[in-house]
Amino acid sequence: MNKQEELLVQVLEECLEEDLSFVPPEREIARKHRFSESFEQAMQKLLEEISHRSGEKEIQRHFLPRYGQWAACILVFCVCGWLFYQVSGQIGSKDAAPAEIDESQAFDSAAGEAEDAGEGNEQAAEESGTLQEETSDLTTAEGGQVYCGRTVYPAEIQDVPESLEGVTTLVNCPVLDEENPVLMLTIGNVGEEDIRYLNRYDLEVWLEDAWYRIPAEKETEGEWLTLEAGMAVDEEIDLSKYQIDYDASQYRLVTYVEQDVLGVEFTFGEVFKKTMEETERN
Amino acid sequence: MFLFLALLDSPEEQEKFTEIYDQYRHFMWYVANQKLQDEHLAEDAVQEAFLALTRHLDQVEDVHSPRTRKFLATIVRSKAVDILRKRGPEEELEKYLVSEKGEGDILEQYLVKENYHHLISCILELEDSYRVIFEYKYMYQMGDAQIGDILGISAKNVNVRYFRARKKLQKMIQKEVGCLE
Repeated sequence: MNKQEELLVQVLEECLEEDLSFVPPEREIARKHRFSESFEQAMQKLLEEISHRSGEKEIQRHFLPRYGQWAACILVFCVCGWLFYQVSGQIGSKDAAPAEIDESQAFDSAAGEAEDAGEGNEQAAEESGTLQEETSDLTTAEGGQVYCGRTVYPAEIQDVPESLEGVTTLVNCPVLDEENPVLMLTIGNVGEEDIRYLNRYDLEVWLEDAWYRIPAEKETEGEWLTLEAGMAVDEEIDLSKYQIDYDASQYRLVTYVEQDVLGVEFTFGEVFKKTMEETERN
Repeated sequence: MFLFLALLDSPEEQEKFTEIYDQYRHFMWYVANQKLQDEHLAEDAVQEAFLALTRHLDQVEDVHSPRTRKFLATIVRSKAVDILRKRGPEEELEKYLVSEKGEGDILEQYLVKENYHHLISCILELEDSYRVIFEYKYMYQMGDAQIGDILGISAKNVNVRYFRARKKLQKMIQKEVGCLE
């Protein structure tokens, strides 16, 4: 590169630096702009494809005949031999498997019986009325409940925290107006590392004794997105799209972050008013 | 798309790409939006830029370096220019034709330290379609074929555009220096 070209590089660098000096920090831009769903989907797909192709390439690289035909032949022979060894080993272990399963089942069954016996002794000490009540509650929780003309089933996870170390959820309006049932769910990454969250949420209602999941009109699997450290994401939720009973005592929105499940509760104005009145009376 | 991705053939490159995406996607969108003044078109430019990046990831040594930031800005700007060109090809063609008229290539004569500030103001005023060619060629030392691959044009067309860019810059400096003289 000659002196003139070096000077041009210097000028170009300075100009670009000047242009980019007006660009705010990444976090500030992220706060103001949220990428469209189609963009997120396309990029997610691209990242997944990269991951997939990378794996394929690794395999291809190992099997390319770059080390000569002999090397390839020996490799294939070794792989085939190893596969044969593995397959024959599996067949052998399958033959032995039923006996092992029987043994483990017998052990589990025996352990279960012992536990049941222990519980039975404890329960025998309690009054029969209490026992019936507990049994009734259990049946309700395990089975479905009729809610707004359809059967809803208990949520898989009943105890769901509102926040965990590094991540928190909240709704902008814990007491909602029945005439405008729109609320904003916020997931905040208060930790120092990026987290992955599912851009889908579940709506659950509290009925008598447990949380029940209300099926969405259109069930979607959702997508895992990245939430940068120190950032928050808002999701506007219009509850008028759900068939819900505004007189039910409590609702919650359940979100999925990394391996964890988080939930945030809310209620409707009339129910809240009644609850407050009852509390005052008591 | 598979053709583009075929070049990312190691887990390290894959990791690098993901890191760039996580760290710079908003920055790239902002740069594109400055040019396009349209949020959705800016997203298209970012997407195109990332696709192009899969083929030229070797240009990125350190994800966190200022050079990488500049390189990404160049790519996304060139994609934004491309989107603008597609929206108004006639106008762009006219620009090229106008810039072709004039005298021989004596740009080298003007590339001297004494003209440093004039050069700065001229480059800042130069259309992005030309400026990115200079950036690719001089800042990132890329060949015509590589530039053509990013811009989606042939190496020959890159060369044509490069000489037009030189002429345009030369004309601008001549005017700038002449005004002050």
